[in-house]
Order: sequence, then C-alpha cells, then structure tokens
Amino acid sequence: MQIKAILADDEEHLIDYLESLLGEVWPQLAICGRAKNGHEALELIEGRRPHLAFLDVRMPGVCGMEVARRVAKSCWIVFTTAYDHYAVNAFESGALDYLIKPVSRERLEKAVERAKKQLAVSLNPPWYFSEIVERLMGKMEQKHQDFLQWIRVQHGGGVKLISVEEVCYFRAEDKYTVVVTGGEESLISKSIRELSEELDPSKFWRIHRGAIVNVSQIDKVNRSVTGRGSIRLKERRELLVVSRPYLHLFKQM
Amino acid sequence: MERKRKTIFRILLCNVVFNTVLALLLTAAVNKSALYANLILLQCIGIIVFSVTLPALHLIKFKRLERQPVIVMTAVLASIWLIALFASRLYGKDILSFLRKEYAFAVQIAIFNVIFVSVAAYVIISRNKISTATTLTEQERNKRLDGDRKVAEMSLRLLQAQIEPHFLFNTLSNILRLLDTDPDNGRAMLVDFMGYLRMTLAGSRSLSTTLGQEAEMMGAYLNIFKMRMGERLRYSIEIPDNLKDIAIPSMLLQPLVENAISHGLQPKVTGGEISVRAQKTGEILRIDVCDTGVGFGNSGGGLGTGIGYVREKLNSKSPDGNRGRLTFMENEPCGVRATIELSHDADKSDPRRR
Repeated sequence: MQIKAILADDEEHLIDYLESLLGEVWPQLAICGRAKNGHEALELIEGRRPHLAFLDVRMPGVCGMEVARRVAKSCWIVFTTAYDHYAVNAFESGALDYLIKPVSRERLEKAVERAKKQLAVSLNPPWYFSEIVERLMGKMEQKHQDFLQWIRVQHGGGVKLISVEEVCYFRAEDKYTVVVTGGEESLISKSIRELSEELDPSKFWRIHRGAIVNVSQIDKVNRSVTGRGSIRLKERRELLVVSRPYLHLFKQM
Repeated sequence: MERKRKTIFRILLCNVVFNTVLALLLTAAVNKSALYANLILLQCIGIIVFSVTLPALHLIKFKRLERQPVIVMTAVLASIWLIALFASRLYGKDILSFLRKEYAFAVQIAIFNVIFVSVAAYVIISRNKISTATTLTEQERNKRLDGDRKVAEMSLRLLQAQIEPHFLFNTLSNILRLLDTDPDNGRAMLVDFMGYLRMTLAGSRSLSTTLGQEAEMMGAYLNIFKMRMGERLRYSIEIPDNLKDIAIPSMLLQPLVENAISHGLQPKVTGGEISVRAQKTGEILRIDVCDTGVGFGNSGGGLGTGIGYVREKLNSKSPDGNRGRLTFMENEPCGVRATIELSHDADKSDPRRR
C-alpha cells in the first residue's frame, strides 16, 4: 500500500524544497497535497486522508500546532520550524518528530526512517498521540499569556492605538477611565476594574481605588511620616497618591 | 520646602548661640549679677532682628527662600518675642523701659545682630547652593552614564531583533532552494540579504543615517520578504528625491516594517500591502508605514524590542537636533498605520551644509 503525505508551509520555495528532497529520499511516497496555510492544511487532511503530514509550526490562519491538535487522531505528524527555541526544546522531550529548516538531507533521511517504522506498526497514530500534542501546546503557550497590550482610543476621526507600555497611569473618571501617557490624556469606556483584570499584574499596580500605575514609569515613591505614600512619575509632573491598602506593594522599594 | 525650613532654623540657631555667648560675655565683663536679664534682653533683640532681617534679606537678595515659610517663621518669631516679653515681666524687669533707658546699648547689640544674621545667612545659603550644585552635577553624570548604558543595551537587542533567527534561517533556506531551481533569483535574493546585513551592521554602529539610505535598506528587506511570501506581499516605498539627503536617527524604519510584516501580514492568510511614505511639511518630516494586515490587537504580543528602541530614540534629543514621536493608528479598512514625526532643523542636520 502506498503511503500518502501532505506538506504545509506558507513559503512556497520551502515547500518546493521539501518536496524535492522527499522525492529523492523517499520516492515511493505520494505527495497528495500542498497547503499554504493552516486552513488549507486542515481541509487537505480532511479530504485526502493522508497518513503523514509535514507541518510548519508558524503558519497564517491556523498555526501548525493547532492543526496537529485537531488531526492528531487520524495522521502522523512531522513538524518543520526555522528556529524556535521553545518548540525545539519541547519536541526533544516528546515523541513527535521535527525538522529544522533549512532541512538537511541526512536529517530528513532519519525522519523518513522513523516514519516508515511507525507506519509499519500502525497506519493510524496511537490513541495517546493527541495527548502528546496537547501537552506540547500547553508548554509552548505558557510563554505568552494574553494580557491587554493595545488600547484603542478615538482620535481625530480615527482610532489611535496606544501601547500599554507607553501609559503612565490610568485614572478612573465615573464609569470611564482616563489613559494618561507622557504627552496626553484620552478617555476610554472601559472601567478601571475591567482594566485591572486585563492588564499584566506584574507590570501594572493598583495604587488607589481609582488609579492603576505602570510600574516601569515610576520615578520615586515617597512615604510620609503619617504613612501615606505618593508616587512621582518619570514623564508627568503630578504626584499620585497611594492609598493605605496598596502601600505594602512598595515596602521593598 | 523642607530644605528651606532647615536653612532658616539653622540661621536662627546660629543667632541664638551668638546672643547667648554675647550675654555670657556681657555678664562676665559688665554686670555680674544680671545673667538672666542679659540673656533675655539679648535673645529678644536677636529675635527681633532676626525676624526683620531675614525677610528683608529675602526681599533684597535671597529670592530662593520661598515667601510662605518666611512669613510663617516671622509670625512664629513674633509670638516667641511676645512670650519673652511676658517672661521678662515675670522676672520683675520691664524690658521696654530698660530699652528706653539703654537704647544706645540696645542699638549696638541690634547692629551686631544684623551683621551676624546676614553673614550667617550668606554663609549657610551659599554652602547649601554649592552642595546642591554638586549633587546636581553628580546626578546629571549618573543620568548620562545610565543613558549611555541603556542606549548600548538597546542597540544590542535591536541588532539581535534585526537578524532574528527565524528571519535568518527562513531566508537562507529560500536562497538554498532558489540556487538549485532559479539561480538568478537566488543570487538576487542573496545580494539583497547581504546588503541588508551590511546596512544593519553599519547602522548599529552609527547614530544617524539619511532617509535615502534607510529607504534603500527597507527596499532590500522587503524584497527578501517579497521573494519569500510571493503574492501575499505587495509593497511600495515612496520617498521624494528632495528628502533623501535628510539626516534621521539610524534604524528607525526597520522595526516598524518588521512589525507590520510579523504582526500584520504574516498571520493573515491572504497577505496584504505595505507602503512606506515620507513627506515634509514645514519643519516636520513625517514617515508613514502602513499595512493592511490583521491589526495589532488581533495578532497577540505587544511592542517588540524594536519599537521600544524607536520610541527611546525619538524621545531623547539626538546629536543632530531631531526630536520626534511615534504614533499608531488603525488603518482603513484594516491594518495599522505607524507614523514617525520628526521636527527637523534643516540647518543643523543637513549633512551637506555641515
């Protein structure tokens, strides 16, 4: 029986390259489809039912990892990646195979040997295969949690994007919030409570019922004899008051 | 504020000590029995003089002493003097009648005091000024050293971001393939890659470049991506010829273009367009990098190292007189428009006129 495979990579020349190398190393392999993004890869795997899929980790639409997670029950997977420190570390500990671009002939031969052996045992991957992919994804996702990064504000007929790193502090104003940067203030409709849940708590500290400060923008923290605290910022002239319940944040400063 | 209060107290303390010594001397030399009377008399004179001299000095010369603490101090001292007056009555000596009798003596003491307070104030305040000046210069120096170190760290990290491994290895993989199947394009890509690397390394070593050079570098960079992404990337660079010689801080555009590609176009299945444009209105040089990608909010991840570097560069006044800002707007109908605005002093920064 002929083994079928699909290739997925958003860069056409790289897919060509892999296909021609595979043609030399494993001439009996039937390449039954090429995908330029994650969606196409999923469709191809669904429609053509290959035994093996070579997936680029970084692809537009749906990334290679996500594709693998969805199809792990039906086909064997070999990942390709240009350089991904985390990914490579993760792969090395797992049962999945990976190729680093540019793919060398020797490395591809090894991968092919391994795939042939696995396919000889079973054309379908074992039941725990999807679990391995799942665990791998968990490992790779830890490094970027989804905190709020951009704030959209109305600005002269357009929408301005303010990076949270630029923000000096947020100040509550009724149900709205004033976003204060070094040069200007803008009003957004999010409440300060919603913001405090969405911002990275290691970079943004609540210092008052109605204020959140960007820690990297703090110049100096003053504590008065009476135990009240005030913050001087690097790019603003006004002082921010730290109310008593939040003073402990600055104990070690 | 704190400091000024301290200065006034110090002068007052000197004055009190001075008058105490004077009172002791007087007691020892003239009338041995009247230590308390002398002490009270001299301190009273001293305090009156002090409360008049210091505000007077302030009006004449020491503008640095803020008005409010001086007024407060005067009020406090006046009340102390009143208390002293009552105290002297308790001792059975009417200080006013004594002053009336011995006014010549009191005037002498007062003159002594005026001189003393003035000298003490002068010495203490100028010493303060010197120490403030020293701390200021020290702070300034530390700040500068800190700034230098930060810039060095930043440019190192920027360099790492510019020859980021993904970019490096994907590009090399493409070249490897093209050299087999399409040697002409492979060679062209290699030339662009070498050009980009060379300009990146040169840029990381110098503070400023010209808009024309920066545009050329972006041309090479975008050519490489065009080769890799094919139909998914279209780009245009429009820099008017008369702006090409304008000096700008080096490495401003690459982080913006890189951002547009990696956060805008690469995650988008259909790809899109990047345009780099420059225009000058009056003294303001404006450079736009627009993309029609997925937009920042949708690609995850925040500002890269590169953007932080650009902002840092624009915030600090560069040696050639540029200062500017970076803003991001949503592009219509999709994507992001990054805009750099540099207020540009043509006389200082045009390299041909230097």
